[in-house]
Amino acid sequence: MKLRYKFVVRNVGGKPVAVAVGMDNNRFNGMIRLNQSGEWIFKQLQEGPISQEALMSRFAAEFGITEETAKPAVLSFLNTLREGELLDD
Amino acid sequence: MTELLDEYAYLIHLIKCALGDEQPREIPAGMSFESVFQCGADHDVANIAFYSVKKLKKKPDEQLYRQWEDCCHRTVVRDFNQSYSRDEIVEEFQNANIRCLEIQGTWIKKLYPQPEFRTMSDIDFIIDSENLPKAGRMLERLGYQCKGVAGVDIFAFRPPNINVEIHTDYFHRSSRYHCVMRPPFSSVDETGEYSINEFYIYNILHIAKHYFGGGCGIRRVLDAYFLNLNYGERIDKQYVNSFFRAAKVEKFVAELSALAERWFALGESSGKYSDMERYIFRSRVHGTMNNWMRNRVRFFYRDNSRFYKLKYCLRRLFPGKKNMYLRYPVLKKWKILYPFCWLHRVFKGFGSARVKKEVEIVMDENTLDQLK
Repeated sequence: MKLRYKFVVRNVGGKPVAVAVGMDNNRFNGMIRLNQSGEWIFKQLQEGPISQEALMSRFAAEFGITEETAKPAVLSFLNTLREGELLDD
Repeated sequence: MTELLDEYAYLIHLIKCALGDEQPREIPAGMSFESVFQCGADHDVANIAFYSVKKLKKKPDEQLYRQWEDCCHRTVVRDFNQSYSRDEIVEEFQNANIRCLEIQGTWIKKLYPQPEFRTMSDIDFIIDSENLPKAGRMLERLGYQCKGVAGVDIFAFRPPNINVEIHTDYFHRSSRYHCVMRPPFSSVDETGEYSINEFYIYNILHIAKHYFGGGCGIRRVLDAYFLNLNYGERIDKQYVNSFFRAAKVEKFVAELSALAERWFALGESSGKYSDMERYIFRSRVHGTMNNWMRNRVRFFYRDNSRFYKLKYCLRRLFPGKKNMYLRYPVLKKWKILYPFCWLHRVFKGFGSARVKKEVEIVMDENTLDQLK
């Protein structure tokens, strides 16, 4: 699982925002506003291909919660990316 | 057409509050958000004003609010993409041992509280002229379509909206400011740091170039404000003023600085608007052809006051060799074609709306009045 386009994440007005850049900006010309956990997941995906299970495990460890608790939040975010055709499984 | 002066004053107020993260006052009674938004859009500063609009108790109607928000988001997306493109190009220049200077918006936006506040039409660099072919090939490898355009050494475009201009000097050789500046890379010291004096002089002269050309908008006054805020106390004032004196813009610089201070630091509005303010509001973000023609006539009069109308028309009908070579580069090799190029130029302009407008402006006695 990995991001379909090359993104840059930066703070805008104090909140993290992701934008596809370079030639990919021609394919996805929008802007994604992230919260703290969304930003963390996004950065994990930016670092390279990762399985859904590995992502949930790391997320749970990062935020000090169980994987059961992490699952809905992570899945919800990933499904939003899938609906926007931003994720390659 | 109304001048919307009070709307502009309120727009300036919204921008000032956004820059300082202050609470703006509510929109005055009888004023419409549509007009304020349009004023902002005409000057490419609506995005900054939106940060204040978000804080108002009485907001625009939902449709306009979404439109304004969308305008702000689009400038953010563009800024991200321009910053990425700039980084990519600088890295490629370094890898190819092409020394470069970043100029205009690319540098100035770093002085703003948030870089996305400062929109840019294009990304500008200066390189050595002998590196132009290498730079062109490098840009093509990055997916740009390159061409030469009069006044710009390389103009490159990459979809969806990235324009890059590569220059070999601060000002084109036809510009009245060309001989004022020192050569670009002489402004860089042994550690690679750009002299703040030269940087300040260039950017102010660049504003002057637009102001006395087609005109310039609120964005340039913001640039002047941030240049003064960041460098005003650090520059060698005697040194920089000597350059402004040589360029005959000393008075303009003082007026511009005072205006920038009044708008964005003091936030003063007396309800009376100076000629400079009216001219800036009317010029919009990139100036107007009308301004450009009027200013050209005024400058000509300044240097040739006796029989200036006749002299101006003759100069336009018979431009000098330098201008003909710029317009018809083939003349550098085939001087014999000069009369044919001249005839081509005359017939191309004959009857055109632009030439008719220019003649109107030359004959209009009001053209020589102060800028209004």
